[in-house]
Amino acid sequence: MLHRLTLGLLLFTLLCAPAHAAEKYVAAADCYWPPMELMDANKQPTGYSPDYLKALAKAVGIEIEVRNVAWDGILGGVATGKYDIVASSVTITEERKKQFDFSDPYYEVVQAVLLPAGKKITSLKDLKGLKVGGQIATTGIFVVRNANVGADLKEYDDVGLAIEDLLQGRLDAVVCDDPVALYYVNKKTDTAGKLNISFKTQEKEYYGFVVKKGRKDLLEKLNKGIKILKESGVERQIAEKWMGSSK
Amino acid sequence: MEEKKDGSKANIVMVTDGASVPDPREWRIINAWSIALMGAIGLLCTLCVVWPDSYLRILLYLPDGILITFKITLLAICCAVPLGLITGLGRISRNRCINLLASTYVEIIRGIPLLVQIFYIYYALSRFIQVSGITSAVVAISFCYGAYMGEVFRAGISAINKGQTEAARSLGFNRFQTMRLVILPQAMRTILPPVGNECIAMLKDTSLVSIMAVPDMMQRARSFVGTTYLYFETYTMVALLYLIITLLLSKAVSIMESRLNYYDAK
Amino acid sequence: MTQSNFPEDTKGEVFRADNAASSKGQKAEQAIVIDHVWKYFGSLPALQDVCLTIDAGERVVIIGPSGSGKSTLLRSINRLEQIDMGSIWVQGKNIQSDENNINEMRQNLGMVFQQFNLFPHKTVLQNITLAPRHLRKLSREEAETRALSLLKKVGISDKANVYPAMLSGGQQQRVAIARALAMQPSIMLFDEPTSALDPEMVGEVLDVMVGLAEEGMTMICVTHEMGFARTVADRLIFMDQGQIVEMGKPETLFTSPRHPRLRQFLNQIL
Repeated sequence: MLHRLTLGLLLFTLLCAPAHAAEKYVAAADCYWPPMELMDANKQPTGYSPDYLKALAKAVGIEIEVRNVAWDGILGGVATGKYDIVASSVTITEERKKQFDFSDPYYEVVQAVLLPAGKKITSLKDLKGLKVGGQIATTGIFVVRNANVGADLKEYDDVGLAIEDLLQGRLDAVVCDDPVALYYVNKKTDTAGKLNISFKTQEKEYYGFVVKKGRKDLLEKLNKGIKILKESGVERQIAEKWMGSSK
Repeated sequence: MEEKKDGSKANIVMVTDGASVPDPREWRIINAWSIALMGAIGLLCTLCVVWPDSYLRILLYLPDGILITFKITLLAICCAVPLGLITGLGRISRNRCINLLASTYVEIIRGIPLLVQIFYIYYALSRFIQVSGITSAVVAISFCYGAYMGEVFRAGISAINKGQTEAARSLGFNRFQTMRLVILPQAMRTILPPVGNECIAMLKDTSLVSIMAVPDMMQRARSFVGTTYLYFETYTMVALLYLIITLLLSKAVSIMESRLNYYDAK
Repeated sequence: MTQSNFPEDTKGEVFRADNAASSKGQKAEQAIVIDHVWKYFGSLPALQDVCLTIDAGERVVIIGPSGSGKSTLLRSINRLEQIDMGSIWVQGKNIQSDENNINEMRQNLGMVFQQFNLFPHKTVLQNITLAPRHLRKLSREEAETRALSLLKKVGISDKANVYPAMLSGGQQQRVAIARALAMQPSIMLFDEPTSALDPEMVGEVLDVMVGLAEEGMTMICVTHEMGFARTVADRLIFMDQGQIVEMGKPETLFTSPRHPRLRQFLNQIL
């Protein structure tokens, strides 16, 4: 009995322990979007965005904990206050800006269209009649849908499942952010060599950290941090770490 | 258990998470079912009229998803009910082999969550056979519910008095004729409400297939949310639609059930 | 087999109709031959070495305390119970043999149950026509004509189109008899047909059975109705503990029972 009590107390203390002075924020990332956000071997969120956020936190003297949250509904969670920041490769769009506040851009991407190795198309128009997959509610899907070229769009819960179906032949193409596409084409061992980036869109997109509308205080800190990281060259280091020479 | 006049025992078959089937003897106009249905329809109409730019937009975005949901449900019912019947018969079979086969099937399927089964059939089996999202959804749901319904069929058939079998056999009917002409028509009455329930539960479970990029009602909703971020409005609408559909289905089951009660003493 | 087969002195002994054992070469008038039959429920013997021969046209009534094996014996004849040892021959055919189709043989063995066992989802008419239409391949008209004449015979022509649940017990049992007769069996088995009835309804069912007996139907009847046994039975059989203890003319058994167990039984019920 005494043992259990001690154990219980110990656990309690451990759980409550980090009572630091620094301001603490929680960030959400969907860790199925490599190399921007992914899980490391210890099942901790890692990748470009988490690293960026940690460096940023250090620079402005706050503390940020990154949690893995499924993409579907990740923005809803910040609106309801489940966490303070979404750091999950969210492209700044006009629609999204109506509902959320964005930090300054911290990364620039275009959309890449992936096809199985050896096949090639050159424009969105060529997607006509093809089965095109992507992650649900991502800008890749929006771009294809808005292009209105008559593609058969399939929306997956995460891009990895779409890539899997592309390799199985159930899809003709997958559309996603170019760093993610590069990662699957070059880095991921079981898909490398089996895919190619057929083409990229021209229109540039910018990632921003998402906060609940009206959280000016937090936005200021994030923007300040982004500025520091850009000027100090830390941003480039993180980019090199995750994108390597391919970027 | 309720001892009936003909000596048979009416087993109360445990129901799962389906909407409860309304009692066909319920005659009042104001009851739980009508309140829920009227409330849901009323709310849906009000929302669409008052905020047409959000709710009406959602409602107009969803219909092709509803069609897919219905399609999967109907196909799955068409496969799961016969599969359930075969499983149920297998479970009461005196043939040791068939019995063991049916029981093992039920044990395995019941131990695996539907979501995992759907994933398994879609991704794991794609190494051997290519199936579309809808096909694997139908197969997974049919297999899963076939096992559940097998238990319902087994219970329903077992609940029929042994005297019925004896009477039919003593007239010279063989096992198959006895089942077809005497036992099953009677068992239908006890089986129908829980099977109807399973079908309704099945309709709700089709929302799981959106993980396979099948554009059912749920995925259409998520896709809509993904563009508009109208979380509350969209899921309110989806909830109301699922509710209205299941309420209508449970009424249909209830009407069928009352039709099957034709031979009861007044 | 007649009473002359009785050994003179059966006092304190269990009677065995040993002649049945040697009658594999069937005589045409032998409807049923039960030959050294044993039946166990678990380790409990329900029938112990029972031998019995019933002639065509004979009316046999089996009596005995509950648990004496009389119903089991009756149900063994159409193989509703599987026997463990011995053999049963119906009209010269072994019912255990795979060569003989039991379903076809049962069509010739009408059975009436204690609990009626009418099909509740079928009307009275459908109950009666079901088997003739599916098994005898009668047309609907033929089957219904036959059914209606049978209903007339059992005295409930007016109930042809109602469901069994709306009938009294006595009416249900009469329908059950009509249903069995619709297959035009040559042998009728009655398993306590009046035991589940209210007393005022027993008469109407027995009347039907007496009428049937008068037409010369081969009947085997397990019952507690001693009045019926006395008037109808050619032979009365008393069973106890899975054995045939005594048999003979009903008058003889009622007036001068030889076996103490029969005496005791009669004292209890009369």
